[in-house]
Amino acid sequence: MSNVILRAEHISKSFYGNKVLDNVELSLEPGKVHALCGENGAGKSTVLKIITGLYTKDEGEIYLEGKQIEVPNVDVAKKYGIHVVPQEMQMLPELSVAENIFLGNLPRTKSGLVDWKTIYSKANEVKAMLGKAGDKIDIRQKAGELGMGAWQLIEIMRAFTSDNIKVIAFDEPTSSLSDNEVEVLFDLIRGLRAKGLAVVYVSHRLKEIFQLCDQVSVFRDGHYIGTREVSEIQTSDLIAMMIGRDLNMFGDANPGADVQAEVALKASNYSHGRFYQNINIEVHKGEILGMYGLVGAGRTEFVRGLFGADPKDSGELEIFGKKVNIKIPRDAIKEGIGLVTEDRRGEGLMLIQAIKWNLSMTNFPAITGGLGMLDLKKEKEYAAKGMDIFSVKATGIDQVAGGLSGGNQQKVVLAKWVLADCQILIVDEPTRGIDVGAKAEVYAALHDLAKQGKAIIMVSSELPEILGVSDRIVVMCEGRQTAVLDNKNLTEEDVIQYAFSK
Amino acid sequence: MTKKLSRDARQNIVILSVLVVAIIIFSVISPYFLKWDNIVAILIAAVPLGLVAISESTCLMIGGFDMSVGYVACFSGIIWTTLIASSGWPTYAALAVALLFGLASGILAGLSVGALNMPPWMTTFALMNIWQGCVLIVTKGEAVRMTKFKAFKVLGQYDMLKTGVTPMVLILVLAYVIMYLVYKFTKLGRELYVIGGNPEAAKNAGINIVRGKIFAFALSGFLAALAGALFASRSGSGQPKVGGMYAMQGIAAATIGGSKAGKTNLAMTFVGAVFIMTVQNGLNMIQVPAFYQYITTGVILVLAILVQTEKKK
Amino acid sequence: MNKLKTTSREKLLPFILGGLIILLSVVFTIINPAFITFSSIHSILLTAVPVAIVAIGECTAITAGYFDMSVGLIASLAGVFAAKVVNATGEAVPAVIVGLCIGLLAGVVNGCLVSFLHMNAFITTYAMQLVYRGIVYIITEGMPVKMVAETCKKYLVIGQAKAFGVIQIPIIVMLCLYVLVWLFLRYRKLGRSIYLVGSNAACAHISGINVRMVQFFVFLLTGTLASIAGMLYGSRVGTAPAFMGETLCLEGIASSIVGGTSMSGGKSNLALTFLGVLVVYIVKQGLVMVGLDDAYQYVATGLILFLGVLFQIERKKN
Repeated sequence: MSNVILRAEHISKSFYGNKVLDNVELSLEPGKVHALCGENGAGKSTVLKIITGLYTKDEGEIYLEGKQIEVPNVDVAKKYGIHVVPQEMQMLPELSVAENIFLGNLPRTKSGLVDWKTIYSKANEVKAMLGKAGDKIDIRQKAGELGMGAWQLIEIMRAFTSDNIKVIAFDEPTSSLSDNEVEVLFDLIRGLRAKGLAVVYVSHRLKEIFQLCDQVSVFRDGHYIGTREVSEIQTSDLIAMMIGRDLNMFGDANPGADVQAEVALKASNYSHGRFYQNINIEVHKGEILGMYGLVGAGRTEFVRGLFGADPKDSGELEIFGKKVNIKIPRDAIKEGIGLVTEDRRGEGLMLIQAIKWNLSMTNFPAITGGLGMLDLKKEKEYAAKGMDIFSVKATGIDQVAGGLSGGNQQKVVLAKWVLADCQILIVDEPTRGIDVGAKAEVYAALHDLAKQGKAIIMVSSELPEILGVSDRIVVMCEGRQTAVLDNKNLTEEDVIQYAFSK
Repeated sequence: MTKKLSRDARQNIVILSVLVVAIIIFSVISPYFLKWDNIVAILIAAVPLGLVAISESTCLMIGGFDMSVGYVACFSGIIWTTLIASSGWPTYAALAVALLFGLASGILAGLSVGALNMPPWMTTFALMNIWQGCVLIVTKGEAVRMTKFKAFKVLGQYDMLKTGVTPMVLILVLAYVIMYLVYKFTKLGRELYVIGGNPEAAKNAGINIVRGKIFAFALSGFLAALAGALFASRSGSGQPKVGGMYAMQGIAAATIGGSKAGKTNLAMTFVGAVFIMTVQNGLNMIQVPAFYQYITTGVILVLAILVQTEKKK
Repeated sequence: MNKLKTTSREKLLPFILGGLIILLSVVFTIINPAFITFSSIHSILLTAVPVAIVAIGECTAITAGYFDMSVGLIASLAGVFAAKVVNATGEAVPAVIVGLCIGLLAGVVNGCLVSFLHMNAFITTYAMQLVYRGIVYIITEGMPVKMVAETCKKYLVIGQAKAFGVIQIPIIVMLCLYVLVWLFLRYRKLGRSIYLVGSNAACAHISGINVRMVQFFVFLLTGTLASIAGMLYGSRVGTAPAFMGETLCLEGIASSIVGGTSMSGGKSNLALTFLGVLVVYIVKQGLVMVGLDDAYQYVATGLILFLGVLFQIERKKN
């Protein structure tokens, strides 16, 4: 272990009271590409962000070359020689490539003025370090004129401007790159490895790990599972480490039991640009249809297209056998469809408003009394009913939604659609960011709704959840529908194989 | 990818062509329009606006705007003239006080916006009204007469080399050159682009955002005060009613010049200022009553914003 | 912690405003005992009418997440148009209809630019204000439009008659508007939607609310209210001034902000906005009493707005 350059121990991190990392560890060696691997929400990106200063840890220690360090922000991390190419790239599109490279650290002359000559010459030197990859970039060009691939190179060049570079971390670098660009990037990363840097690599694409990486650490549910030499394992070993969670909490022993014959929703040939192509699904009354895939597979975009929350290019929709045309959410609500969005705090709730307003806003007719006036007494009863459906824990219907825990917030969002008498409910990542106990309650709520004959489409990135709750499963991969599976005796391997690109 | 570049270039070409077309129309209607005297007159009239346009351009670049420039300018002119006329101060000492006032107002706005996180429009709107009140308190709405004071009028009225060009034009040119250099060659100037263009990136790059915002508003206030002083010198008096339109015209000029969060173009901002003054001068020339300026400024501003407004999905 | 702080600040606000009003009244009464008489209070309320009405509009607009900077000139425009019609016809009804239509029309223009073309509300309405100002100039050449008492009686009576011989009608109209809009915001779907759109437009959209129509409507409301303010003022003083609008917008916004209307949208209380108007006007009245002229009122109102904003903002973390 003397060869370890960076070591993180006992790292924990919570968001909004929800633990996303619990006592994890990581050791990086120079001259090795180290993959972080796991399902969505396993914590791999969070680990990367903590060691590079994008997030601050709650607990734990980080050692660089044996000395304990603190990395409160990116700036400090850079000074220690730890650099990051983040997923959300921080570009100034109106500025030149060269200036973007030196952002916040422009070389200056003795008189303190910005030294453009040095900027351009140094930028060219840095570009030369990229080798062939840099050929297409003119450092005087505006960054906005270049594509994502070039932006990634700019982020890498930012790291190269430092004379202290020991660790460089990539967060999902290939998610928006073309095949050619991926090849260029891989060559570059191999070059970095040859120079003796420790490279951290986060990716969803298992094949990339085998193509590129030397070591792999696996995370699951915010826990550290283990580290292996890539040369010593197979894809199946990796998957086995990623999965294997406890399924008891899902509580449905008999998938398919509530499914009725009547088709509630049938979508054909849904396509939208590069996000998803030619998706066909059918949901029956009383059925929970799981939609599984990795982040970026196009599931969220597809269900938002169904609901009219985002535009689509093409697609026909039938609701209970009737052809309908949905362009905006209001159309969908009229047809009895509800959408629980992925972004609960941004789109699901009015955080600054009382629970009762959050519950009643999807169904004004129900709280309207004489003369078309809102009947506030009726609204109170209506809201109280909504609180009861899923037993929301709150001080009362007047409590501000922002003050609720994640799980109770989600129950409010579910209740607002159920109260509006939706027959078809689309739930996107319904248990994201909520604790285990609340998760079980959400699952119970979904089963309950299915029993009442509602049709449910559940988008989830969590395999156990998909297997534990769904009656049937649609798998998507990179915008395409790769499988429709009956949830009978399925194992995680059966499903996950369709989610990775081959 | 090259689309983006051509969009900027296209916009600039459109603006320049509209300017040329306007000039042609006005010169056809009035042969006097293209005479040297009139060109100089337009240029001189464009000086205060040109300065205020830099203010707005800077504030737009960091993602705000400054509503107070008009009455900072106005009060600055009043301070300068009143100190000379009523308190007997030496000309340039009084000028320094006026400019310091602008700087102080700008720093106050910058502190409120940068350090206290107050929204720039409301904060500068409040300041604007405070300075407007101060102008009225000091002047009771009467112009400050300066007929006796020769030195005071040098900047705005001294005819250099019998060309009709006065020193204030030089000051404007100087201001643009200096600001170009500040934007291009100082660390602080470059940081302004980053603060407005991508605050998250600015934070991660270790850029002091609060300092940048204070700088931008301080600069804005200083230039506005300079604009007001030059206007006073040119008109030969302290006018309590000048400046009401500066903020809007300045924002219009800067927007025509393509300024927005993270982006600015001083040359085109100047073109924007000249454009507005050309339209104003041309309308005067063909004897359109002065109050139509309100409508033209309003319409120009609405159109400029409309062009700059990004289409939402 | 921050959240707690804001809620406690919110809860304290009525007491702070009430206390402020009482304190100011006491101070001014000590300076001049006539301050607390009925006629003095009546006159404060009467002069506050235009701003109080404009403040209803601003409060609603800010609740929806916007500012309307053009209200002052819409008021002028409507007042002037109505006065012209009265002078020509001697009838009140057509004048009022024309005035209301002017306000509505200006609201339509503002609303189209902001809610359908997505332009920045603050700067766009400020620019439109210049256009309205130009139109006022064209019509009036900058001169106030006088209404002759004999021929314009039917219109002037609106502003000058006293209900039950005690309270002048503009005050009654103003109070009615407060009650009506308060009821509207509380008991109509559209009123509730204004709060929802201001709280979180994305969530409102997903929940089936027609966000653009709500935003559009808000501008209609501010425009119409401004025109009422302009006409009431004109008929009270017997002259439609070309530019009554100079301070109307500032005072309307200041009252609303001081009254706790959240600048980030979604939270407001019309009753508190009314208290805000009272604060602004008692200060104004007090300044007059101690012999400070109009000029000081700009400074005072500007300061009140500045402090109102300062009181409301949340401290940045770190």
